[in-house]
Amino acid sequence: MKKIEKIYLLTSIFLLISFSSFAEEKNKKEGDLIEPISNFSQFKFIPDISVILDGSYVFRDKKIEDFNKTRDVKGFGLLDNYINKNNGFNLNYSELAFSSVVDPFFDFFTNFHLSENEFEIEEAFINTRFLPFGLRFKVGKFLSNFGRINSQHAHYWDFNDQPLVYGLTLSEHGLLEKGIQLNWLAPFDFYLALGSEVFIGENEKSFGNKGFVIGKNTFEDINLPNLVTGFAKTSFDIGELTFLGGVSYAQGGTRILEQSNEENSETTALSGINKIFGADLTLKYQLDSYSYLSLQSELIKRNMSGDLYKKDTSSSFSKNQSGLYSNLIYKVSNQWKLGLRYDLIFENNLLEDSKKIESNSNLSRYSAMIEYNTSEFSRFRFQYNHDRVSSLEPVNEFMLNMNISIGAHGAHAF
Amino acid sequence: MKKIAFSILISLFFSLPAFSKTNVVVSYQYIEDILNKIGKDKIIVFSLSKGTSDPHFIVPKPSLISKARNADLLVINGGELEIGWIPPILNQANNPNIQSGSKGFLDLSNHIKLIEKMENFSRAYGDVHPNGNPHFILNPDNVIIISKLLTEKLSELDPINKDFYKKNNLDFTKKWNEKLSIWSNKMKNSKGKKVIQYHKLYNHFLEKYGLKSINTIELLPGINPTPKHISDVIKQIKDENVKIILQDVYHNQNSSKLVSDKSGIPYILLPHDVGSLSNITDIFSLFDNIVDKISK
Repeated sequence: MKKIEKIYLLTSIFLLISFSSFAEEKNKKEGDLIEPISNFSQFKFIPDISVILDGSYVFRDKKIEDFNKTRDVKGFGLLDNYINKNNGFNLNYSELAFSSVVDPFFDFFTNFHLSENEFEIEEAFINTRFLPFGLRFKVGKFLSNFGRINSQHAHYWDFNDQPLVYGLTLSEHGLLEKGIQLNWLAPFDFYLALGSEVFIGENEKSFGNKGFVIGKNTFEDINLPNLVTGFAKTSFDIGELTFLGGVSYAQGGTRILEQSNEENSETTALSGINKIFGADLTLKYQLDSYSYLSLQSELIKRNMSGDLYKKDTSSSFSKNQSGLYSNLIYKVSNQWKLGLRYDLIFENNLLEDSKKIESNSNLSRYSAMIEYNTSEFSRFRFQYNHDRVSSLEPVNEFMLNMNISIGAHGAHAF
Repeated sequence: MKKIAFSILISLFFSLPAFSKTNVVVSYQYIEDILNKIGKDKIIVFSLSKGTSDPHFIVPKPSLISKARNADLLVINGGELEIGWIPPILNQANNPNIQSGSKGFLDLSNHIKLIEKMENFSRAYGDVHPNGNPHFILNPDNVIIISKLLTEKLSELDPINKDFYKKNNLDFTKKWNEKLSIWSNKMKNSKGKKVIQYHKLYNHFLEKYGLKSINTIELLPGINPTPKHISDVIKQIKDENVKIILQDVYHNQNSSKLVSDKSGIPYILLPHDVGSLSNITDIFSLFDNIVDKISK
C-alpha cells in the first residue's frame, strides 16, 4: 500500500515538474530527499524559435487555367509563385525558424519552409563571430546577398508577391544556394560592405548544374561550384534621410531543361554561361519612431549565351534581358502602411543562330497595397495588381494576405 | 628598402588602436552621458539612438553598423529593450570585440534589479518584457550602480587610466548623492499621488518615490488605445482621484490631450532619456526636469 502511494506521489511530482520547469524550485523544501527530475534539463539552451504563417484570399478576373497560361513568358519560361498560387483561399507557407549562438566562434540560423505537403530547409547556415579586420564568413545554404530584396524573407517584403524581374530571372525563391560567403565591412565612418560568394549554382531560372540528355547529346552534371557572385553596398545619412545603394554581379554556368506548358511545344535545353548585373537604390526618410517614407528601386540585367538543343537540332543562342521595379512606401504609423509599386521588363532580346526571335519586350505590372498591423506580430495586407505580364489580356488581382508570427521576437536588418 | 617601409606601414596600421582612445558605442544617450562623465577625454562615445526616439523602435541603419564595426566596447540597456534593433547591427558589425559574451559587451540590465518581473506572461498582454520593466534608468538610485559598472568596465579595458576613471566616478557619485537628497525632499509631498502614463515607462521612478500608476493610455504595451479604453481611463481618473497624466515625448499626444480635456487633469510632457527635450542635456537635468514637473 505504501509503495503504491509512493509511486503515485512520484508520478504526480513528475507530472508537476514536466508541466512547469519553474515549479520544482518553489515546491522544494529543505531536507526533502526528492531529487529534481530536471537535473539534466537543458531548457535554458533552447534556441530562439519562431513560427510564421502566411495565408490569403485571392480574387482574379481570370479562371486559374487562363491565369496560368499568362504566366508562360517567352524568353524566361514559367513565372512561378508559391504565394497566392490559387484563386480563393491559399495556405502560402509556414516558416519555422531556429537560431542561437553555437559557441564563441559561430552563430547558427536555420529556417524550414513548410508548405501544405512539403518540408523544405530554406536556409541553414553559420556566421563567424570571431574574425578580426571586419571579416565574416557565412557557410551553408542561404539567400545570396545579391541585390537588395534577395536576402530578405518573403514575410519581410512590402508587397505580397516578389518583384517581376526577380521571379523571371532568379525564380520564385530568389537566388537561394549552397555555398560560402565572405563579407568585409570597411573601417570607415560611413557604411561600405564588400562581399563575394561561391555557390553550387542550382538556380533553375539562370544557372543549374544538372546534366541532361536531349536527342543524341548527353551533358553530365557539373560537380564543381558553378556560380560566383560579388557585391558592394554603401550607405550614409543626411539628417533623417538614409541613402543605401549597391551593385551586384553574378556569373555562372547554365544548364536548363525547359518544358513549356504550351501544348505541342517541344522540350528545349540550354547549356551556356550567364552573367547577371544588379543595381539597387533605397532612400528612406524617417518621419518619427513609427513612420517613414521610402523609395526603393532595383535594376537587373542578364546576359545568357550558349547552345540551345532541341530533339534533333542544336543552335547558338543568346538572351539579353533587363527589368526593374520601383516602389514607394509610406508607413503612416505602427499600424498602417501604404505602398505603390511599378514592375517593368523593358528588354527581352532573344537570338538564335544570330537571328532575332520574336518576343515581348514590354511586360509590366502596377501594384498598390494597404496594410494593417494589429501588433508587431500580426499583419493584414490588401493588395491590387494590374498585371500585363502576358501579351494576352491583362489580369486584375485582388489579394488579402494574413501574416502571423509567434515565438522569438524577430529583428530585421535595414 | 621598400620592404622595410612596407613592414613599418603594416605594423603601424595594426598598432593604431593601441594609441587611440577607448571607442565606445552605446544604445541610448543616458549611457553616453554617464560614460562621458567618467571617461572624459580618454574615451570616444557614440550613441546609436537619440533621446527623442521610442527606445523600442530604433531603425538599424547601416551607418550604425559602421559605428559598431570600430568599437572596443558596446554598452546596452538590456532587458529586451533593444531586442528589435541591436541584434541586426551586432550580426553585421563583423566585430569580435563586442559580441555578447566577450569583454567588450556590457548589458546593464544583468546587474540591476528589475521590477515587475513576470511569472506568467503571454503576448495577449501586449508586447511584454518577461524579464521585468526595462526602463530602470528612471530610478535615480540605479544611476550610481550604472556609473560604478561603467567605471569597472572602462578600467578593465584600459587599466592604465584606472585611477582617472575611479576619481571621476567618485566626483560623480558625490554630486549625485547630493542631488538624490534634493530630489527626495521635493518628491516628499507627492507620495501616494496617483498618475496615468502613456506606457509603463516611469514605473521605476514612481516606485522609488511612492507614487501609484493607475493605468496606461495605451491599451496594452505596444498596442494603441481604443475609444472604449479611453473612456474607461477617463472614468477611472474621476473615480480614483488621479492627479496627472505622464506623457512621453515620442508617442502621439492626441489621446493624452483628449483624456486631459475630458477629465480636467493636466498632462505633462516628460523626458525619458538624455536628449529627449532640448533642455535635457545630461543625466542631472533629466531628473531635475522630471522631479520639478511631477512634484509641482
